[in-house]
Amino acid sequence: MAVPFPELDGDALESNRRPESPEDHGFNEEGIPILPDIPTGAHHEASSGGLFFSPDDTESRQLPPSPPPLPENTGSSLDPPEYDLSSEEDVGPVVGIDLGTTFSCVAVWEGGRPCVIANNMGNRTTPSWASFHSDNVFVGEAARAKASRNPQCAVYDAKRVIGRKWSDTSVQESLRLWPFSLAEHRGNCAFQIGSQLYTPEEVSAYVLAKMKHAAEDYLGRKIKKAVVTVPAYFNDAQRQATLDAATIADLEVARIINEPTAAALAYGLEKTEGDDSLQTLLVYDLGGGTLDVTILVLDGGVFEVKSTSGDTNLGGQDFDNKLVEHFLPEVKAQCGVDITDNKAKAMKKLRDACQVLKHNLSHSETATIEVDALINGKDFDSSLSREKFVEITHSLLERCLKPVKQALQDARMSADEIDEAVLIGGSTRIVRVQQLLEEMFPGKKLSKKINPDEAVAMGAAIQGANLSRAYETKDPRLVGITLMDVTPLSLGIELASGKMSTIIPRNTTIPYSHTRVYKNNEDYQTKAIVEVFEGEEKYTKNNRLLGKFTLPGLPPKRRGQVQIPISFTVDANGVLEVVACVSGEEGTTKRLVIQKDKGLLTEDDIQRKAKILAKWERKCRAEKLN
Amino acid sequence: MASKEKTASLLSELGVEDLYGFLGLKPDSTEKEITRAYRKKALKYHPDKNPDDPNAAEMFQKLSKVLTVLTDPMARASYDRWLKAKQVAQRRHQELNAKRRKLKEQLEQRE
Repeated sequence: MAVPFPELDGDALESNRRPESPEDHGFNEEGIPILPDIPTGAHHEASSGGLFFSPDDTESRQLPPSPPPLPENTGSSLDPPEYDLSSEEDVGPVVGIDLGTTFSCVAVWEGGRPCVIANNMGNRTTPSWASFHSDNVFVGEAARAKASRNPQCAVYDAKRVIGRKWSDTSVQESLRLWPFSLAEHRGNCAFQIGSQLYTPEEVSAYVLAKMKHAAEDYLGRKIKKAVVTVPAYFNDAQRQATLDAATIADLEVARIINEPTAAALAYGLEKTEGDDSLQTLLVYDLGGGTLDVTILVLDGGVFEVKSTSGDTNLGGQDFDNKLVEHFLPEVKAQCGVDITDNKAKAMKKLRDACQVLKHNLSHSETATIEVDALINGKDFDSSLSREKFVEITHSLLERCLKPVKQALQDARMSADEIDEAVLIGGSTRIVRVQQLLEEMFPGKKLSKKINPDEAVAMGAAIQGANLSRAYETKDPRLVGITLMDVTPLSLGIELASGKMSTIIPRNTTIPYSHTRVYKNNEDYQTKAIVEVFEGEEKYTKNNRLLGKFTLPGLPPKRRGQVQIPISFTVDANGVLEVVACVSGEEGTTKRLVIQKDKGLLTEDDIQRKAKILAKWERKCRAEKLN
Repeated sequence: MASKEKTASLLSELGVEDLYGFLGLKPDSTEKEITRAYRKKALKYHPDKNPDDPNAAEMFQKLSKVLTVLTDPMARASYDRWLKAKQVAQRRHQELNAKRRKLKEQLEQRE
């Protein structure tokens, strides 16, 4: 709807976006496009489908014309429940699963609160382990028990390699310390057991299936849907791989949510009731394999994520690795053998002992390590002080505050604007980590109110109930709760210059949609290649390619004469859709839609593995195994 | 020139002229009041809360965009200028109308 506008001075809504350096978008301060050098040779090929950014159109957007006016009160979610329970009965409740690096946990909304479900061993968390044998697959405690006899058959840490390339430095660095073998499989990682290869998706699927079993046993009904959590800083490939794992385990994922956000939900639920207060929380989640930091505002029942940051490669296991490395020379001196070459059993024993030592250092100044018959019947014993522990893990501790600073900067906040720092993840029990945070937030209390091992699953269960209308209409407590999450990484396309042009910056509240208009880079160019990237680097070659498509049918015109609006839409699930169109003089419009790249597994792979897993599930049920 | 068009295009795209009224606020609201009002509305229109309403996402985004304008000091200032100019224009228009009526009345009386 066109409204007449009076004269207006000033720069209007120019600053209605994050400040960006004009240079980043291929035009200089005057807003005149900087023409890249005449491309030569191979480069020419690459840039022939390129685009450049037109300053005139930085603000044009494409949204459906005149959206319908906001109704004052649709009332749809608040009216008394008018809803067919029988249909929901088929779907069953949406459980929340925290698929952790070292431990997993499942919870469900029950009796007006999230409730953690114990597994068949009576434990509220289950080791994220799977052990593959010729006749069966064991998961959880059973797998870990098998590991002491057959360490090469039992695998864990699937989360550290899921969605990652074999060439990833973090994968290569960890290889030496794992008792199992990892192999390259089509450029990705796979666990090798004998001659068999198992993908991390598959291993995670077994763990998810085990969690599903626990919930099914507890609730006495089939579970079809789950909210699954991932580290906030997981990239798209890692998220997609997690979704594939759920598909293999025959679980429909109602939503992938970020772990710190889930924890905040669990933490905040207690605070929201009738409370109109405004609170800013910083959730510090140092788990077995990842560090996540999220800043969010709790306003009434709204959980608004302001920013999120993290380190996908920092967790309790890295501390264990440092300890193992520290003790290896001592082991060699005491036992006379280097246990790193093919002594998987001894390595596992040493690692377990190091873990115990680390735990003990959380409540005492010094701790001892004792391993009976570590190798060749020889015992190993030693001790470590907290001070020495800090020294050994110095390089890791240094990385502990970096994401905190980044998250504060992204939220445009200072440390004293944080009302409370919430600690979750088992590794926040490390004394030095708590000290570092106390120094960062002087005078603020570090909240350890919620169980760091269970908070994430509980939050996932809250979101699960939130997304399932059967619960919401029944439970007034959930009606006032909404989670507003953000995009963890910036999304954009590649310009002809090889630079990244961001269309949706990181930490944008989703759902969100935005359009920028680009122009043809060359005279009479007939098609444009649109490459979609995620990441924060200036050049796309340092970011991650999500997908690409070719837009044909550009009207043959001089450089800069063809306008190509490209719109990015991220839905509440964090799924990106890209639409590009060309509108020529004759009014022709071409339209292409791409979804983000699929995961690393093909559709066939997933189906095949899902069949194997379903068979395993039936066997477990029939023979009461696992 | 471009900036004026941008204001125009943004507001027409939003389909809302009174951004404050949209959030149920007055133009002198503080930033805190604005963000809190936004959150209250966002709770109502979040797609998760309206699974059956395909327009919910669009409405939610509209809210986000209104918030971006009103929480960016520069954007808000220029919107405020726009709003003021519009009000001034409206008042002038009314005054003119009133004057014209008066003149007309006077003329009629004289006749």
